[in-house]
Amino acid sequence: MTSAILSLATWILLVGLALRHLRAAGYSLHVGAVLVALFSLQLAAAFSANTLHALLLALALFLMAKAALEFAVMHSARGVIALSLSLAAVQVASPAGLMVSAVVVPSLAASHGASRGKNAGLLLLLLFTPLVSAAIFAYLAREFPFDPWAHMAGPLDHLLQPQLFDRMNPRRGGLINAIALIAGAFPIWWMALNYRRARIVAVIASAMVIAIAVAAWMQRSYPLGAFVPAVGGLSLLAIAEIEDAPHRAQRAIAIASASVMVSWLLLMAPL
Amino acid sequence: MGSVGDGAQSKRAFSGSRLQPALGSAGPDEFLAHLYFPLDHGFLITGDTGPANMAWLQARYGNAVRVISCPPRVVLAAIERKFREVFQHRAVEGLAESEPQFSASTVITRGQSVALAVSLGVVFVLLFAAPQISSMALAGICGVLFMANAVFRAVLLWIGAEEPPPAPTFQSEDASLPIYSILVPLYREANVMPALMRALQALDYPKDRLDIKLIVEVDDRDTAIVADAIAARDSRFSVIRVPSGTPRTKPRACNYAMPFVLGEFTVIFDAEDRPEPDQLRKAVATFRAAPGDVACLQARLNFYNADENWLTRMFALDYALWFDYLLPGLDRLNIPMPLGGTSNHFRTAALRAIHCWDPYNVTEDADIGIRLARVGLRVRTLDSTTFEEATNNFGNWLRQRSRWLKGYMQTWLVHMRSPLTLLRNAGLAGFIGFQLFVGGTFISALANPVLWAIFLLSKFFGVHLLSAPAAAVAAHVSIVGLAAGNGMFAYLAMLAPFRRGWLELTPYGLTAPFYWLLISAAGARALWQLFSRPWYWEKTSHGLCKIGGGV
Repeated sequence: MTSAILSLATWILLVGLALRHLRAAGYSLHVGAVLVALFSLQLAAAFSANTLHALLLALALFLMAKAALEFAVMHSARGVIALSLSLAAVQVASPAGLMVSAVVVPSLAASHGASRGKNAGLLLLLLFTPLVSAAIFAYLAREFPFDPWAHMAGPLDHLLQPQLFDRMNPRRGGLINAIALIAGAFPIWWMALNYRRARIVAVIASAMVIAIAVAAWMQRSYPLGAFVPAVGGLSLLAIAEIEDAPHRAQRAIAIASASVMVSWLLLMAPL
Repeated sequence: MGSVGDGAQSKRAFSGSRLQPALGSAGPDEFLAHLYFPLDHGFLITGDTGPANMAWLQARYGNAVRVISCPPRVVLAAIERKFREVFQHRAVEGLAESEPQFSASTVITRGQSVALAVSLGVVFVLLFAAPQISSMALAGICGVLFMANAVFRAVLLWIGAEEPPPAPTFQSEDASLPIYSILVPLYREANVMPALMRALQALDYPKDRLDIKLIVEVDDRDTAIVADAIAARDSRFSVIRVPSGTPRTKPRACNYAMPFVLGEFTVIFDAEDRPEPDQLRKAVATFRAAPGDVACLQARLNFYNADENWLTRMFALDYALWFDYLLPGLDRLNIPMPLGGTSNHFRTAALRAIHCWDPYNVTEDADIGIRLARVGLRVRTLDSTTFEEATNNFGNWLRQRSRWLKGYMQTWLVHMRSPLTLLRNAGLAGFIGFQLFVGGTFISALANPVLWAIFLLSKFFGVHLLSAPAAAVAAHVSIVGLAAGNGMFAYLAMLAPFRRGWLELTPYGLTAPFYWLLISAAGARALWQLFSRPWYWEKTSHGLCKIGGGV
């Protein structure tokens, strides 16, 4: 029951943050509401996996991408803190999070464009919180043996069982998941080709795909539905970068709708 | 009343005269207020020949005297010479006599002594009755206090990191700028004075509106010789000699100089300071744009020799955190702000109204920031930097840091004499902020080694701390406090250089836990000195750095 309540709260938080971001990007309330409704359909994919895990991963990656976008615009101490906290959060949200951080952090530090010494400083700043939080969790796990995730399976998990990748052997299933996510994340790649800022979101999406592939290679596989909500959140952030021009709203809604359809087609794929 | 004489005449009249022995009812305050001084043979010198002052002199003396115009510093020198003992007494006892509750001349009050004795007694009884649980509970409290200080600083950093509103424009016409006084207390600083002079001459401010007081101790002949030479060459400078006396502190020297300050605004710079050239114009613009209750602006401080060694790098991180984030955070939360040692810009009238600095407090700057808040005046931060020399050797650093921590202890004790009054004056947020920022600074320094000792005993020497359940919890709290507190201090130190773009210093932030051990050593020394030599001012030597000292 706790898991269901937390899932609902995470869902509401994600939707609220997404709407706020879209409004800040200049979308009207109506268009924002439509885009957020479409995003909710992607969040619903979480029902085909461990719902809370999937939503928390989506939230952590959404926050990470948002912090990275803001950091790119304004290099401030607050931006660094937000980014490193989101990196810490993403590794708590999912075991794949550590690998996501491993790809994202050096990319962000390198994109800073400063001298090697300054980039090293930024790299340290970004890595510090995730590493310290990992150490604290390890200490707590040793001193007080307790796995909070063990209690997080809930009544919302696997309500939908449309996709069968996870019945395959883990390596093959994981690789197919990674390829499916590359397809599902098409709005992100498209936006990255057209808008410079959206490349930051693309780096994070790439990191997620790489993390899934590496996990698969290590014989660890998760249902596709565990990642679709995260892809949905990242796609929304990428779509928000569409320039303020005529038919912007129509383009955004069209891309978001296509993204939802592709996600659900992949989920329902009879493999 | 006779006519105003010319400069040459005034020089002759003044140099040839003896001071009027009978000054009637007039005293130094009247002479200073109207910038005049009566001489022998019916002469009177004044540094203010404006119509209002001349009318006042006419009304005061009628036609009985002949008025001679003099440079203000000549008039002030005459007044100072005549009333030296009065000014000396006021410099030392002014605050203690008028507002004894704010004076650190009493280190600890009777009430505080009783409270301290009772607390220590209870602790000893508990330690005797239940040694394990009590000692671990104490350790837990240390851990919580250490962490609370770190968390409060993290909150301040987050708030202070918000981009400030655009600074007011400061392209004022020279004619509209007020007289600005600069106090430079000096003691055995002859070696750094040429660089100081260059830094002050580089200030972008009209020459005729600068009133720079070089304040030297009367027995410091080397510094006085250089100061006299500078003043002889440049009319913006004047030299004030502070008579011998105790306590021999910087605030006493500044208090002695304050009656002779001419400016609407007053700033303090140290001998090794290099203020940004537009700092005074920025301060004037900020004061003019600010509400009238803003009595002081604190400019940012940092170092020009940060790259010299590990100690100077850590010091630079320390200052960057303090002045770039923590003080702006206090400013935004409207929490009383302990000022930094230099580059405090004051409205002169407000400074005089609160009886200037406490000469018995060895961090008079921190104390005056709190006192300003307690009388309803505000301190804001100024977006301008003064570069200083970071102490580059451990002995010098230890002396300076232990003085600062001792001063924070003094300040905390002074303002906690009546906690309820402080609460009423500063409000709840101000009261809590004062406890965490002023009290937390020295308590963290003292708590840190206790936490390290518990950690080392429990981990490496096989001391079993966990046999009682309560003790186990306290031990965990203290160890988590140590780890989280030090981790947070390290992270804050790493973030500190971000605003200045000095990210190459960030890796040094990882060594903050070692730096905190040094601070703890200074804290222990400060605690010892608080009771053995409370008003002793440990001199920080300047001019030792090997890089970046030029202007």
